[in-house]
This record gives sequence, C-alpha cells and structure tokens, in this order.
Amino acid sequence: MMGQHSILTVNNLNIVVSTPHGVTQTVNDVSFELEAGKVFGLVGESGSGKTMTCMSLLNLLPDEAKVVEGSIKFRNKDILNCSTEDVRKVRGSEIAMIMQNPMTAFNPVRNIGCHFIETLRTHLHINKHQAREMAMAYLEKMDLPYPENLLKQYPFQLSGGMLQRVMIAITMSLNPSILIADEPTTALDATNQLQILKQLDRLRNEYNTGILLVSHDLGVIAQMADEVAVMYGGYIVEKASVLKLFNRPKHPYTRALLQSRLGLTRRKEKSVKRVSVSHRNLINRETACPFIERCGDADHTCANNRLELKEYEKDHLVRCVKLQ
Amino acid sequence: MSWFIVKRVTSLLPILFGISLITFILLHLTPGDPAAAYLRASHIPPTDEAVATLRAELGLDKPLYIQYVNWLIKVVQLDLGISYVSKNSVWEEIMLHFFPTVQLAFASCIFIIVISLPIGMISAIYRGKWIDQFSRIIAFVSVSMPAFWLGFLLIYFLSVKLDLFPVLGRGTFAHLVLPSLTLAFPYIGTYMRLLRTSTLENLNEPFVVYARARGLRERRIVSRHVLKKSLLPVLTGLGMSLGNMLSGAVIVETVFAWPGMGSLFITSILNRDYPMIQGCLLFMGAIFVVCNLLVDLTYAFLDPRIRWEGGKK
Amino acid sequence: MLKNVKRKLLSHKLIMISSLIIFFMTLLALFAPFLAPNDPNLVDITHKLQGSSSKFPLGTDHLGRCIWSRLIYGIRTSLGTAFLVMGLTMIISIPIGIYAGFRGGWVDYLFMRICDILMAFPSLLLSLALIGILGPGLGNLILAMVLVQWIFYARVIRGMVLSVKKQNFILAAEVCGTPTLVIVIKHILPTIISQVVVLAFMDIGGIILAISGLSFLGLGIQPPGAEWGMMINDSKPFFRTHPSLMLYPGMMILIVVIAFNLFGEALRDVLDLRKE
Repeated sequence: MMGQHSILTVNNLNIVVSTPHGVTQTVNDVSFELEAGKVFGLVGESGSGKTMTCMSLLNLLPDEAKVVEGSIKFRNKDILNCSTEDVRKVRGSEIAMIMQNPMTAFNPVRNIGCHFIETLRTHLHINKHQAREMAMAYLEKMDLPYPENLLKQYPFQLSGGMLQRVMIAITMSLNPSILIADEPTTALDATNQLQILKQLDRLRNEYNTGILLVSHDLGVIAQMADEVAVMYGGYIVEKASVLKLFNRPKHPYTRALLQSRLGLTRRKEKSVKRVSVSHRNLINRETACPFIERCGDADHTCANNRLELKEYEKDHLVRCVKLQ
Repeated sequence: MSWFIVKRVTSLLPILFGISLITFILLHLTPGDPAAAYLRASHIPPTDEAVATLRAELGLDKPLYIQYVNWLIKVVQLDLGISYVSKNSVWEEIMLHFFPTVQLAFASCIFIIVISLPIGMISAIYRGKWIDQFSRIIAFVSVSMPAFWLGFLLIYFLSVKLDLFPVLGRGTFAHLVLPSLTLAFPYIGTYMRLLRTSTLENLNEPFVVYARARGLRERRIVSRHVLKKSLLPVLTGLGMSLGNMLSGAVIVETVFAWPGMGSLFITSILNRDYPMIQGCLLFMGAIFVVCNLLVDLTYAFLDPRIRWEGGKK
Repeated sequence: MLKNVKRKLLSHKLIMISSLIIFFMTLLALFAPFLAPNDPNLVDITHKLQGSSSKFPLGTDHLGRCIWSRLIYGIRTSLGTAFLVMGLTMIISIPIGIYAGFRGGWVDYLFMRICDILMAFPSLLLSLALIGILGPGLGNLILAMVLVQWIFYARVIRGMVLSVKKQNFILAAEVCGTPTLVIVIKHILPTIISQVVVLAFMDIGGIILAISGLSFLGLGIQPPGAEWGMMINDSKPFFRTHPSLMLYPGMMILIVVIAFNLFGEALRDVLDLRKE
C-alpha cells in the first residue's frame, strides 16, 4: 500500500565502521520508505546510527564506514551500486541534504554566491548571470533580506539561522524529490528553529518534497513528521505513524524517551532504570536486545532471542520480544 | 583592509630598528679596532697616529650611541659606507648583486610550486598509495640533501655528462635552471608534505561533505574548495622561505658562480670587508622582514576571515 | 607507559634502521685510528688522484691523501661538532626558556622582544655574519651557530613551560609551598624534557647540514683537518675528471642526515608529540 507512492526505499541496511579498536556494527537491519510530500522522522540519541543512515542514502559514507548488506532504491535506481557519476547527478538535484551545523557546512574562504551558483550550474545548463538571478530569487523566497548583498558575503559573516536558510534556498532551487535534513535545528536558537521548520514545511507543501527529518528533539518530530522511526543502538526499535507513536508508544525505549520529554509538566519519574535481572556476561551480544542494559522490563528472554521488527498492530512495528 | 595594512606596516618599524641595532652592534664586536682594520685593508701601516686620525675622521672617538645615530642617519640616506676591498659604494654593489638573487629566488618558487603542489595534493587524495609513499621518500631526501652536493651532482650529470645545461655563471634562461632547482630542492619536500597535511585536514571538513551532497564534481571540490583553503598555510610558509632563500643562496651561488647577494656576502666575509658584511646583513634582514610583511598582506587579501577582522576595527 | 614506548621503539622499522646507521657511524668515528688505513692528513703528491687500490680503498685526493681515511675521520668532525653545538645550545636555552616562561612579567617581555629581533634574520645569514666578524675556524663556527640557534629553542621551551605552568599539579605544588627551584627541577623539567630531546634530535640533521655547508664555504674547520663539506669544496677543480672525490663525502652527509632525520621523526611518532 505504502510502496506505491514511495520514492526512496531502504531495505535491510547494515553498516559497519572500522575503528582502531575493531569493527563495530553501527546500523543494523534498517528499513523504511520515503513518500512524496511526507515527512519521515528519525529519532534517537547520538551514536544510534542516524547520521550514518543519512550519509549512506547519498553514498557519502566516510572511508572507514561501509554498507555490508541491504539496498537503497531511489525511483528504481540502486544508489549503492550506481556509478559514481550517476550518484553525483542524483545528489543535490534529486536527493538534497541539509547539514547539521550550518556554520561549518560552507567553505569559509568562498562567499555564499560561489556556493549557490556552482550548485545551480552543476545541475542546470545555465550561465552565470542566470544562476545569479535564480539564486537571488530563491534567497528572497526564504525571506532573506538583501539577497544581492548576501551573495557577496562570507559564511562567517552570517548567523547560523541565516546559513541554514541559505542551505534550504539552495535545496529548493533545484526542486529535489527528497530532502535529508540531519538535525537541521540542533545548532540553532528557538526562534530560528521555528523559522527553519516553517520553511521545511513549505518545501513539503509547495514542492511536494519527501523529507527525512532526523532529530533527537521529539518536539520537532511531533510537529513535522507523518511517520516516525525510533532508533537505538543501530536498530529501528519502533516505527509507526506519528499519532500512534506519541499516543501509544510500545517499546520501552520509546516510552522512556517520551517520559523524559514530558518531565517538564509531570512529576518526574525515574524514567530509565538500569537492568537488574541480567548479568553482563550472560548477555549474548549477537542476539541480545541493544536496550537490554537500560531496560526496566528486561529479563533472560531479551538476551537470547533474535530480535525482529514485527507488526504489533497495523502499521505499527516494534522490535521487542516482550511485545510479540 | 587599509587599517590592517597600516597596522602591519607600523609593527614593522620596531623590528627594523632592532635589525639596525643588531647589525651595528655586531660590527663593534669586531676583534681589534675598525680603524686599524680599515688601514690594513687599504695597505697602510696602522701606526698610532694614522689610527687616531682615521678614528676622528670616521667618528669612532665619539660615544657609541652618537656613532649609532650618525650611522643610522646615513643608512636612511642609503649611505652604507665604502667597501674596504673594491672601494665602491656598498649600496651600489648591493644593488648590482640583488637582482640576480631575486631572479634565482623567484625561479625557485616556481619550481617549488610546480613540483610540490600537484604531488602534495595527489598524495593526500591517494593517501597510503604508492604515490604517497614516494612523496614521503622524496621529502626525506630533499630535506637531508646538502645543497652544494646536489648542485655538483646536477652539474656533473646534466651539464658535463649530458650537456643539457650550461655549467656555471649567469646569462641565458638555461643558466637559471640548475641553480634555482638546487635552491628549491629542500623546500620542495617540505611543501609537498605540508600541502598533503593541510589537504587531508580539509578533505575531512564538513564543507567538503556538503559540497559532495550538493552533487559537485570531485574535481571541482578539490580545485575550488580544498585547494584554496589548503594553499593558505603553504603560502605563508613560502613567503618566509623566500627570505630564507636569500641565505640559502649563499651556498648555491657559490657552487654555480652566480653573481648575486650570496656571492657578494661570502666574498666580503672571506675578505673581512666589514662595511660590506654590515651592509649585506642589514639589507638582507630588511628584505626578509619586508617579505614576511608582504606575505601577511597577501594572506589577508586571500583569506576573507582575516580581511574582515582587520577591517572591523 | 615506558614499556609501551619500548615495544613501539623495537617494532618501529625506521627507528631500527636509522639507529643502526647512527650506531655504526659512531663506531667508525670512535675507532677511526684503527679503521683508517692511512693518516688522513698525510700529503703525498706522488699518489695524487689515484683510483681505489689495496692501500687506498677509495683512492686519493688532489694532495694524495687517503679518501677513505678522511671520510672516517670526517665523521668525528661532523657528529662531534653537531652534538657540541646542540649541547651548548641546550645548556643556554633550557635555563633561559624556563626562566622566561616561569617568571613571566617583564623578563618574559624582554625575552620575547629579543626573539622578535633575532628571528627577523634568516638564521644561517646571522651565523654567516658572525663568522665573518669573528673570523673563520671551527671554534668560531660553533660559537656563531650556538649564538644564533639558542633563541629558537629557548622560545619553544618557554612555550612548553607556559602550558605546563597552567596545569593543576604545578598549582598543587605551589599551594603546598614547594620552593620554586624544586618545582622547576622536579616538576617542570621532567615534563618538558622528552619533548625537548625529540626536538633536538629532529634538528641535529639540519645542524650537520649547516656545518658541512659552512665548511664547504671555507668558514669551518681549516686545512688540513678532515670534514666532508670541505672535502667537496677541495674537489671542486677536479670533479669533472674525478667525480668520486665529491661523490663519497656527499653520500656520507646524505646518509648521516637522513638517518638522524628518520630517527627524529620516528622518535616523535613513538612518543606521540605531534602537537608541536
């Protein structure tokens, strides 16, 4: 049912990273689909594999990371097995990306105009003058004042919020079908966050862009996303529509996450407890639930059963032995 | 920007003052009386009477600080005295020998850039591959090679055996090749590695990831984004090296009989021609400082961050 | 930690090779009188410019002196002078650097201004000028090099002291009322000494090069003493017909300098002092 509209399909993605201390599995069995005009939220703490997942979608993983299993299909094009030139053409024009920290995403020794114009001219057959006009038009659309001046300015002369809007303007100008927004608001203050979210919403509504919104901020996700996946330890532990996930969270981690957020209004409970039942050495690393050491409900069944993402109810998937 | 220039140029003055002071003091470290030395160099027997007359004539009987001020006033008027040996004006001799050295230094810079730039970049991009290992070996050899020996090797193999270049002296363009390559050689390895390091650092910057995510061609990312930023530290170094080349030129010019500042300096040292030593030292010190200033200004011009900060105040 | 360093040292191929070369060279220098078949300074015009023979393994130079013997004795001159220069430089720069860094205030200010001025000259140039004024000779060469070099080391050491000074264990020692001299000797010196040693080893190759360069210019050791740079200078008029005269000493310089440079770099890697 969902598959018919989906533009990007990620199936059983596994990524390993080799470090000086050995090889670690950072992304495990991650599958999801992105649809036009919909926002797919990816939530999780730092190190849960969100960024690695994002980077693999553009085949931009760092040298030490490698996809060992799985597929990424964009409009029936296999991103992982395309030629480098084919992937390059997709980047920016079909699948765009907004970086986590706008302050470091731009080259400090080149001005905004250089960045904007070179991106346009890489993907469109236009001359410098046309590109400049286009850049100004899109900067204006983003409510950025004095676009002509802005093009001449250097990244360090602008605020993080402005740079983030420039990035969105660059994205918008090429009208991609998918936008990957990796923590687009983390480095910004509250007012700027709201601005950016508004612009992303506009991108979705006006251009029918499918957005992969990565965040550890549940507020942002609740506001924007249509469907949400929660990641923990490289696994998607729960996936559901935003309403279901926020109203009836099933996985213990999701519940803990939501409780910690509501902690402001409710009396704070001890939201995440340490495991008491299982001893560390009993845990079979191969099969154990990644959340076992912090889960309040964990017992021996969690340590020794291979986990699978199973349908708890329609369109609500959970990776927890206890709930299956 | 103009404020930045003014600030940098002003900061130059105390250093120039220091250079003049050191040069002046150095000459007064000379063992023996300068007046006696002068007389000996002019083949006049240094009798007490002759020395006393000359001391008065040269102002050597006055207190040191007055001598310094008098000397400085002359220096500012480009009067660096008369060579003991050739009896010519020191300033004119320096002017005569300065241009060949500048020529040599610039040719060396071209060698450095042309050779170390591509190899440095490529060895960063193909890190750990054979070209990277190769450049590492080159770098080691280049900083360990005695320049005078390299000069003779080049002369022997390329000029004497293969007859590709003229052996000694200055004249045609071909004369310039071997000396400037010799002068450049130690720097080639250094800059190759420096460029490799800074390129490697920049290749891991988020702006490169974002440039890739925007679909830019790899060639463009390297040439427009990484190269420009990696070149900045190399440029500063190169400017400093330009000053150091003046002293490196002493050896290279001796090997190739190149009639530049280095030859002039070493001849005056071997002849104990004190005014000439003093003049050369002062002049080359000043050139070194000015070189560094020019580099700073170019750096500011190329790096918008510094330009902006400089103009802000 | 020390064990770790030792293991790294042994497993490091470059260190092994370079220290073997250095060790071998030192042996040659120490036992030069037994290893050299001839008196290195014995002039015998009848044997001049000969090829290699059983009496002269590498032939003779334009004055009939045994090249092999001169090469071996040359190690003494080069390494001896280089280590002497480095040692004297350290003796001057360590106390001054520590004093300026630790004392701070006007002493440090004055020190930095002296640095600014002395470092405004290219270092070789200043050495050259000093030798020009003092007159050529090995003693003056050493003096000139030390007088110019010390400022660089003193400045680096001052920087090291400044960063160590801010650390808590120094503050703790001060709070406990430890005398300043004890703090310097027991706490600061041991912390910076390994970095200083690495720095010195990384530069010794450069010093050997500078010494041979100055000797080549005729400003260092005076005839008839044996020194590689001077041997190359001596061979100047004959190198077209007898290239080996210049080939051997240059090769020696290259090998020794590469060995020291490799050793210094490997030492830095092992002690992990990349920050500098």
